[in-house]
Amino acid sequence: MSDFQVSQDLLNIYLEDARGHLEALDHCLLTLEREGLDPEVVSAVLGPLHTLKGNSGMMGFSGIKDYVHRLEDVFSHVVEGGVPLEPSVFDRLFAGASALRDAVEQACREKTEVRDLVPEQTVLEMLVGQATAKAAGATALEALAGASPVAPSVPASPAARPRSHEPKPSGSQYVAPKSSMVRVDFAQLDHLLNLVGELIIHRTKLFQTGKELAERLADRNAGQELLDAVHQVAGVSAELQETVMDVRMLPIRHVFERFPRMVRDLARQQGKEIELILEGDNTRVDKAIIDEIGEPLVHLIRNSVDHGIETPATRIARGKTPTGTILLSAAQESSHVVITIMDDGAGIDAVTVRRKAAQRGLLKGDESLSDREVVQLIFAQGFSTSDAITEVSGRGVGLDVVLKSIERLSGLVEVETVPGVGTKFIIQLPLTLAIITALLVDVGDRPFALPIGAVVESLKLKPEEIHLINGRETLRIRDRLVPLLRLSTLFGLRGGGGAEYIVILGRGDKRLGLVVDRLRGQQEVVIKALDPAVMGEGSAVAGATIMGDGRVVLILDVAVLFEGKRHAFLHGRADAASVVGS
Amino acid sequence: MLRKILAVDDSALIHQMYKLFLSRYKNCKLISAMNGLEALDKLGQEEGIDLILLDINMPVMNGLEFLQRVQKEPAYQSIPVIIISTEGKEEDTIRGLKMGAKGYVKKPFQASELHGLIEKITAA
Amino acid sequence: MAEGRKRSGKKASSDRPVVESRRPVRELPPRRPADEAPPPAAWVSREETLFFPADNAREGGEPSRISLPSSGLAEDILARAEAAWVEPAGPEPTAVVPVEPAPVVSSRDEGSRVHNISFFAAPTREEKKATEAQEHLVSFLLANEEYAVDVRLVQEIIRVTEVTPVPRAPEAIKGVINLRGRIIPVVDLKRRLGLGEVEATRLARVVVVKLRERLIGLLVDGTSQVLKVPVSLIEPAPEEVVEIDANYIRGVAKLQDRLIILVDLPKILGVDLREAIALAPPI
Repeated sequence: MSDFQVSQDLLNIYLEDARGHLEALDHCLLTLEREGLDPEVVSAVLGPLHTLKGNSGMMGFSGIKDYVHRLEDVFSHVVEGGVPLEPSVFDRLFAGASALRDAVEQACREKTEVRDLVPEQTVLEMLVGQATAKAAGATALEALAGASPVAPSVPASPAARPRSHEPKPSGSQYVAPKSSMVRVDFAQLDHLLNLVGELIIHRTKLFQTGKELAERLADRNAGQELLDAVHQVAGVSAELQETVMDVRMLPIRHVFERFPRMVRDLARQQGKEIELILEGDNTRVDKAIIDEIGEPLVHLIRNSVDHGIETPATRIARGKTPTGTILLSAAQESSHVVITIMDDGAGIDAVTVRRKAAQRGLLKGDESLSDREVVQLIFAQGFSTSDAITEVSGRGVGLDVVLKSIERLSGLVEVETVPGVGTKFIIQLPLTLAIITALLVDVGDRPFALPIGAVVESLKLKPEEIHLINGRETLRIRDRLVPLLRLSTLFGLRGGGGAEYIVILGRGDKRLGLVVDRLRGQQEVVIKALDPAVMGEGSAVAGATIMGDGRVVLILDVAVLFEGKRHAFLHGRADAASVVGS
Repeated sequence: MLRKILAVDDSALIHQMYKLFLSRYKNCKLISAMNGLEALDKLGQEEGIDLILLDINMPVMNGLEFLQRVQKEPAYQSIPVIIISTEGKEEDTIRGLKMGAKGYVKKPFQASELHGLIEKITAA
Repeated sequence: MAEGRKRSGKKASSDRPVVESRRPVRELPPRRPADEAPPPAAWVSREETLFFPADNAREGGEPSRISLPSSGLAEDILARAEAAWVEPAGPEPTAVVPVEPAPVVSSRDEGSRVHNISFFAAPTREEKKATEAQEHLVSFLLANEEYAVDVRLVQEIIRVTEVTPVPRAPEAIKGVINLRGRIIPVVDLKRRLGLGEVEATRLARVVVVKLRERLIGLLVDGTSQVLKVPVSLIEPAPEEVVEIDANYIRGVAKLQDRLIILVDLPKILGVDLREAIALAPPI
């Protein structure tokens, strides 16, 4: 036994590999359950298990190693028919897979084995014991894996995640080789992206300076050459930027993969029959999004399972098929990724939502909201779904948390529903987070940046168009009343005086006008991480960026600007409510 | 004097560990292959491989098949091969030994065990 | 296949003996005639027979298997084969070595990092010896008093550049600065410690520290130097000296005519370091 600390690098590699193997295991179990015994499916999982076993042994996780070894046993007995594939057996195997996953994750977090797998291992041993008793006295067990060295080893038909492009005859090995890929530390990639970001900042400057210089040079040829060279640099750095951004993009399948299993488990728990269909899981999305979107999706899917899909009996009574369907799809639309979660369940009843919202004081003076708008309130803070939205009650899931998570990704979410027919959640996310186009504004001689996606329009402030409605400055524009927010007041900065501008921000149906001193134009900026310590209560800052001259410019959090305003009307300034969302 | 070691294994983790374990051999280049086919490729590309660390269970082409082919090539026959074995696959290991591998070590193994074996084999 | 090859690796019970590296290969009693396998098909070599005992050696459903030590040279292993000894696995009446399953820690041992990690021995760390004798510190000035922190926390010290204030940030945070492309918060240490405020003089500095992968800048009135202070000169802080919260002080060092107050930086910044995960944008 050595007493050395496990290096984080090694743990990361082990964990990543292990997660892939565990997913292969889940996939295998799901397929077996759905389609019955298929020796090829089983052999496809033996390879990953074997590798997981070896890796775990090398990391010193002998409990995990032994457990996986036992799993291998079970599977080989499964193929020989020694272990019947009944629901109770599957339940135990699935439970075992979950336990294994737990053990692996914990071991990696704690850098030492924490979870005791002996109980689960005993369960497996029982399964094997029953099988062996059956086989005692029988003829030699056929070797399953382990191709004879003389026969060429043949790889499997793509079972889990095919990655190779060579045609593979069907056989008994496992997932295709990974040799066409390179393993890159995400931190390195981020660093690369940072460098590219810097390059972009300087490229612009180079371009401008180059132009000026070229014009002033007496020697026209040299000037032209300089310009040409600068153009080249600009072109190459643009492509570099695109390529690096592209490298960060991964198929959303990485997130979706977990869900079939989750839905299966939940459905069983609740006595429902649900089929989860995945669509567009090849859609590529920035890794930062992949890292964050999982949880909100879990909540929304749980919602569909818990509150959406009815029990088979109820469904039949309503003239539906006993098996409910949830469709999880992802698609790219211009510069966005759109993820939808659609179920054919009970839908959301606007009447109930309206009542609940009123009860929670979310609706004062807002009776004019249409059904469609009212339903969006399920995302409002303070509106918990734990009370029945539909007839099915269950554990509440905070949709307001989901909204916050999605907005942190600069995304939007909406719900469409038809009572009795189904519900559809629509999430819209930017393709990439790291670089955005921003509108730069001055507030009291300090520059700030607003993501252009949230900007509807900007106009010069004309005092005659501003009205005081119940104590709140409001702009009348094209028959709409838009509430105003003076950033100088919000930030406690002194206004620059003189000409002022209004930037109209949009969020879904809502509009908000920001009063600023000056508009500085649009620019591509690289979003830099901001230490969370810096964000105080009600901080309206989402991030920061660095300008060409090295100055730090803060990027404003549009959601907070709206919310700050929204809290005002949700908390009783009901009069303002009639003005919003018109 | 070890100049080049070819490590053949389908686990990225193991390759990372080899990097650690074999760092004591200064001026020795570590070449990685993820399966037997790739390993054959590397043998062709790199000259002067002094030692092969060979896993058995790999996709595309497993270790035993690779070994069989290697033994047929006069140019590669003499390269010492160490089989990296796993508990439960002893028959494959023994097969490999009979095919000409010079030794084996079982996973999980200590670095020192690997070094000891390497030194015994390459000293000859 | 008629070789009678079994799918190796199946342990029907968990007390299969595990042969470890230090234990020698067990000597076996000579093969009893009853166990002799009926000769398989003619084309199987004699060696094969040795290593693959026939099925009927499986009593009670225990598959026989080969055992090998944890490593070995071909010449040794194959020579043993020649000697026609074979090791059937499975419980032997005499030689059973019950195996303890590898200790799986079900509760975490505080402070003990036990790993059965088969890792290459890293060179022993020498530094432990050194720090026993001395503390390596960086000192700075706050309101004419000298304070110091462990040098290992300090990444660099820079002059005060333009600090961009962040509206509605916590009181002690003066703002953020651009540190070679990275945006880091700047904490006014005097504000944080209740000593007033650091003024923007030529002498003011930002001490950039790294705490758990986070870079934070500490705004101070001035810095003096990097010091090596023998541990023997460090004492707990006397009451009178303490202007700041005693919790923040690790001790004081008395050097000739100077008194240096050693502070516990993680404690001081503790509140600010609260992982405000909910607020952080991803990236």
